[in-house]
Amino acid sequence: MEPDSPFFEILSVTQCMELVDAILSEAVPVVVVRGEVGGLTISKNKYVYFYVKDETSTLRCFMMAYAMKQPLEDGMMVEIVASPKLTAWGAFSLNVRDYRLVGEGSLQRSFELLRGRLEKEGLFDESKKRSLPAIPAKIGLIASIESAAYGDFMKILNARWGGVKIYHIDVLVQGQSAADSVVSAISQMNLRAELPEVLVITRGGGSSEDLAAFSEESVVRAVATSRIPTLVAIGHERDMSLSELAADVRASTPSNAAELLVPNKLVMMKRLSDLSQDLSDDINRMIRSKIDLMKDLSISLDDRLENIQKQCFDVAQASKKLLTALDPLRPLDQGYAIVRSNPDKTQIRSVKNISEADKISVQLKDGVIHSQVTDIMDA
Amino acid sequence: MTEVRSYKTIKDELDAVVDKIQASEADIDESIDLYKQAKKLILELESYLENTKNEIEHLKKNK
Repeated sequence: MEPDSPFFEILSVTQCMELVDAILSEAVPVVVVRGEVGGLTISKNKYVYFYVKDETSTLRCFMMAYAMKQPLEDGMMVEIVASPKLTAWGAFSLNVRDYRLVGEGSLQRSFELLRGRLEKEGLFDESKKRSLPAIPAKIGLIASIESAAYGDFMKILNARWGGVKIYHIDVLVQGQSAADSVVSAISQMNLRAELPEVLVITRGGGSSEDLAAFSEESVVRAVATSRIPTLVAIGHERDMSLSELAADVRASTPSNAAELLVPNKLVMMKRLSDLSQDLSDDINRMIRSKIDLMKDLSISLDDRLENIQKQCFDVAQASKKLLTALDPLRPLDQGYAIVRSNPDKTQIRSVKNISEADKISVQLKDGVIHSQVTDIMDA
Repeated sequence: MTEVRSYKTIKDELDAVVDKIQASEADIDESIDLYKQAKKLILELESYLENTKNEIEHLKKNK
């Protein structure tokens, strides 16, 4: 080495640390390290300290608490994306920028830890579930446009009903950015001037790691706080993500999501046709029954009218007979006569009302005799 | 147009006239007038009943 080499420059301790740190940053700005988590502590809910280790080595790690997107626990396998750092007090540490859980065990454990915490907060309460609209006219769809889930959902939806307006946002459904992509899409949907009536979030099947984004806390919270009712279908029937637990309704598959949203048009038409036929039969039966009733009533009314009519005729006949008996001229038939004075035609009921030589008329049954009184005798 | 009076009106009037004939001590001419009035009422009553009978038959035929 030459005497003027910088390595021979006498440095202060701080300068030395800064130099080594700068060289480290320049040479290895980012590393991805896989290891087992140990010594995890969270300080003041703000700083997260832990180490990752393998069979022979251990590395210190530091991370801000807000970057902890999935619960961590000692013993979990992780892959961390970090920047190496030499601290002022001479400790070598990794500043963790991002991480992902590795292996079914770690994912499952993290899932359970988050599930327990969110459950305590009430994010999965059945009482908070809202019903979906009967047949929505506007649907918000969050899915990868290239996915089979998108294709299946659209195919089934259009085959069953059709004419539904779809507001689609294309998102990443796996990988490090998937959760942010989905959260952003949920937010955009909820900010629309014209809100969809239901929000569908879906993706097809995959490994636990593929589906992990839908169990990340940010996604679960976005689903739970969406002001649009949510229908979430992630993976297959056997897969269960925390987003599905937070959703208002869970569907087992993307196709099932479409089936839950809209009825089958053909089945519905058949049912309506059957209902219409049943209704028509009911109405016809009712009309027939009313006609029969009216016929019966009519017959009964006819009988009643005939009776009344007969009674009235009988009454008229009786009156007629009575009147015949009361005919004041009837006694003339028996030989009686009506005597009147002439010319004033006053009826003479007594000999006291007549004098000799008075002119009178005598009415018999078949004519009138005009005569003059010649003699009056008392009876 | 002649007003068609109801059965009850005609019948009540007839009854009143007949009562008068029966109870009256009227002279022969008055009795004859009442009798003629009663005859007219009987005719009106019979005409009314005949019309009613025709109407009912018409209704029966057209139902």
